[in-house]
Amino acid sequence: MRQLTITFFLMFLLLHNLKSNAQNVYYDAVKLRAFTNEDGDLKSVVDSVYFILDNYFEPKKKNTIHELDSILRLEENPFLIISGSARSQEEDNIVGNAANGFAKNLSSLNVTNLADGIARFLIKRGKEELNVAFFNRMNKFLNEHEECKTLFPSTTDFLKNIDLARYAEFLQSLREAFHKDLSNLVTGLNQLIDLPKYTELLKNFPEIRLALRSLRIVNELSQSGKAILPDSIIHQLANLNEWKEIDLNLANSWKALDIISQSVRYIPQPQDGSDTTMCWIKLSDMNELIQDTIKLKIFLGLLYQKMDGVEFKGKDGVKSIQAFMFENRFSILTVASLVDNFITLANDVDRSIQDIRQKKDIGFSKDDYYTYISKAINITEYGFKVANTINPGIADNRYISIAKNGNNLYKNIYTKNYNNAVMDVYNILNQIFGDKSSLVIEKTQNSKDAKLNNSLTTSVNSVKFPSPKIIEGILKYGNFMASVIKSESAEDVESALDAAALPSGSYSIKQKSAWNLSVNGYIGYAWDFYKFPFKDQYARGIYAPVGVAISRGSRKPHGITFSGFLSLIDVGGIASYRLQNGNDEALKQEVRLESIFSPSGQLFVEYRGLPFAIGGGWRRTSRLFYSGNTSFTAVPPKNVFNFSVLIDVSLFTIKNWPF
Amino acid sequence: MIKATVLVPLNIRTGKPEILPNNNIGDKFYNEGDVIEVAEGAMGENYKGNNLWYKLVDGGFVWSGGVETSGSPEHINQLAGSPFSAIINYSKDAFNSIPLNVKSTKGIGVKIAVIDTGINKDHPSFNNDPIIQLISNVTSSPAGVDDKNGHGSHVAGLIGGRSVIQTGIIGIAPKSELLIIKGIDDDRSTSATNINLALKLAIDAKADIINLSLDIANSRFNLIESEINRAIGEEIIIVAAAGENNRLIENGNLFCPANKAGIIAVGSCDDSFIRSQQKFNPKVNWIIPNYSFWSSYNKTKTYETERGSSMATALVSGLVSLIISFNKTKKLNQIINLLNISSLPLSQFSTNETSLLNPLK
Repeated sequence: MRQLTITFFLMFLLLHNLKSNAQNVYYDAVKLRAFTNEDGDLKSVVDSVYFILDNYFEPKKKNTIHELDSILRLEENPFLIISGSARSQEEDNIVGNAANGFAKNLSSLNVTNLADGIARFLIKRGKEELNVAFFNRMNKFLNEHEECKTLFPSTTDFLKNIDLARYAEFLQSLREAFHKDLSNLVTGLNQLIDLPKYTELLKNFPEIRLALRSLRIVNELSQSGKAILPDSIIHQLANLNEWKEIDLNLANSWKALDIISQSVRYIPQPQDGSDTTMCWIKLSDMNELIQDTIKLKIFLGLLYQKMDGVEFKGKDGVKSIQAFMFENRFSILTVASLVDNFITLANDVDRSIQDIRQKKDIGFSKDDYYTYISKAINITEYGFKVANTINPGIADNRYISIAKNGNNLYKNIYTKNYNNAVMDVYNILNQIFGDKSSLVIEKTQNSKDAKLNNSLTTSVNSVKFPSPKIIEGILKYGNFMASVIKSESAEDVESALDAAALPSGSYSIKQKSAWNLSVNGYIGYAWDFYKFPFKDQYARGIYAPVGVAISRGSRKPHGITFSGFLSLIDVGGIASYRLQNGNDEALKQEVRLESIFSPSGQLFVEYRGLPFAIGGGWRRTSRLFYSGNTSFTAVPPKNVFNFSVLIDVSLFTIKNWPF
Repeated sequence: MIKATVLVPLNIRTGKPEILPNNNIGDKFYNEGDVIEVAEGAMGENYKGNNLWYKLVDGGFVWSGGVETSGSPEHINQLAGSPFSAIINYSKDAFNSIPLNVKSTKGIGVKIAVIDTGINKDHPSFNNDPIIQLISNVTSSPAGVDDKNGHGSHVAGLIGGRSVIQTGIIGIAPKSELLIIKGIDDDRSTSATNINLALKLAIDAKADIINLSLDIANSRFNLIESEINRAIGEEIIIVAAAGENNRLIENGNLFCPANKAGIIAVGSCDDSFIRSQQKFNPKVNWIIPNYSFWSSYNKTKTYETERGSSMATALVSGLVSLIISFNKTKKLNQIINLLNISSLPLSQFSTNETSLLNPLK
């Protein structure tokens, strides 16, 4: 399915230019500083200004430049002033299009939608059948395993009671069941661990839950690169719905902290050599910002937008951070100190992270962990300090104490990002049960007491562990449930179903099968010739056809697979452009249907175990266009014989006949 | 269809837009001063360096070099095609409601300061006229007063273009004295600091009118307020762009400084908006239909169309200069009243006519 996504992503890019990505408040402020006039106001004539600011004003909406301009001219944000200009009218471009007016030029012939439509037509019927089959499998799996029933009780009940062939009618109810189960994941996990079948395990190893709750987070905090960093932890904690249920001030303290943290998060810059271990910008960067009043004002202006809705209820009523910033608009250093103080703490944490990483090879002590975690918790505590600065005496830090004893970290599972939550459950279950608990095994290996080791090993071997299949199933179905919950549209739900239900069309399937019929893509290099056998070369280059393949595999470990392939389109030109320019670059010109329409009939051979296909056949080339500064030349389609070396990208299997 | 006036005796070519002996059936021709109706432009035989011909509504072709076109700039645009090969005489063809004796002053003796992106002084529309003075560049542009952008030349062309050849722009006030001050950056952005400097220069140069086809941030008005007040105190008429369409309605946000007292505010509206019976902001003095007006431009493009309240402002500055020139008054209220007499209510708006509309009339 991933291949399918990648293939169509290429096409998707044709019509949907990537929205220019804002980095964060700090880096955006640095960028915007370059677009200011003599008064320090943002230049209204520079489109980049709007592209960046669009992320701060009604971010869910695609504003036009004129709309955004009108919003800015209301001057409700005391730090951001948009300059005037000569007043003749410009085109009203949609902000977010990477190239001005580019999208409107594409609209005349929607190649992407057409190609997408063809693909959808091909897979629609098969997909529906596969979805039903998927729900049947899911239902069976959940009911067969007590662990799954415990973890996902609502879903299990629901699936058991509906006619799964009519799943589409129940998607919304299913989604609610999924949500109920995943939002109770912590309870479910505890109940799972408390299942009578694992009583013995917990009896022998009562420290296991506590270890899970603390060590896991600590491990993640201390692992380099791929692990959770303190800024992410703040972000996750800040997004827990539970805060709001407990106390709005508490929730907004976290939110304020998260916004400040995100606004000064370090993003590696190509020009500065990049210390990738940093979470936040350096104190010196902040000092530089403070010294440049215009840049600081822009920064505070952007921060002001981000703080929309963050308010604290006190004895004297509700006070928002925006109101505080507005009150102090003429003493901007007071406002800046909110961030400045954070950076001081943040840099302290950054240094600890670097210390821990430097000690990684020689081993680090519990003190290192403790120091680091303490600092990380200190920085989380800063949110409450901000709250009390805005509205004194409104937030207490009793919940930070909870955080300090480690239990709060366990709530990471409750993050709104249910996919991560499911992955956490999977990791936890793997830590407890996988390979008979790596935690316990590590403990026995580290012990020098042979008797104790024997005893522990015996205990481990005697207790009952769930099979890896169940844990994998929890991950698979849990992830699916999380994706469905996260879906904002019917299309998203469909995609989630696709991801879970459609079997991967791996090349290996066809190589191991008697026969295999699949929707297939190939990508690689091809040589086109006027005549067979491959004489008089016509052209050569990237070739990426998409079509239907029927393959005959081999029983032998090193056998040959033969595939007959019929295609309709070739997106090699786009693939070539993407290979050279990356996915972020906007396409420079319109791509017409005739530019990708290239029917072909090919015969490929593959060696079992390798994803490469070599072959050749007939194809009708697409109509090519070359544009120079002053000319535009079209090359008409031509019948050619081609020879190609390609990577087999099976999109999905329509039908498979095993040996 | 547009009307055109024949300048020289001109044969009607009946077959193709070419000068051939058998291409003038009946030896029909037009005399100087005849008014003809042109259906569309056509490329034909190159005669005296001009291959643009006009196809007549009644059939046949005439060589464009022998006629002077009239009508809306958009029609001229259609006829002229590209490259630009027409003469557009705003002084004559626009604002039919303005009395001819007022128009005929052509703004003589009136100094109009144009604070904009500079001017393409070598443009044929400005005819190397020495009374077009290049005052100064207050921006950081290294180009000096030279107009790299084109906006300033466009505005200057509408106000006081003075072409004497068969191709070019004749503005509303072709005999006015233009005081060119570059106060807008080459990228068209403004800063209040620079506009303040430019205003100071305009006042010191004894301008009668200051044209501001621009805006500044409202919160920066304090930076120019004192010079604005000085200009008003010295009876200098300031004409400023107020915006387009929705910005001009009762609760809209007019551009600054057009929204300030003592400044003539000029807006620009699309046809449909003019007809939509909106209630306009009473601060708006006049509205000009939002056409794409041809005018002079920078050295790269030479001619270009532009639309918006910048253009409307320039046209009104030209009209104000006619009033000053004819009535010898510099009193703001008198000028407004006199121009209002010749302005039209929105209900009398006719598509394709460049007219001075009074939203409160």
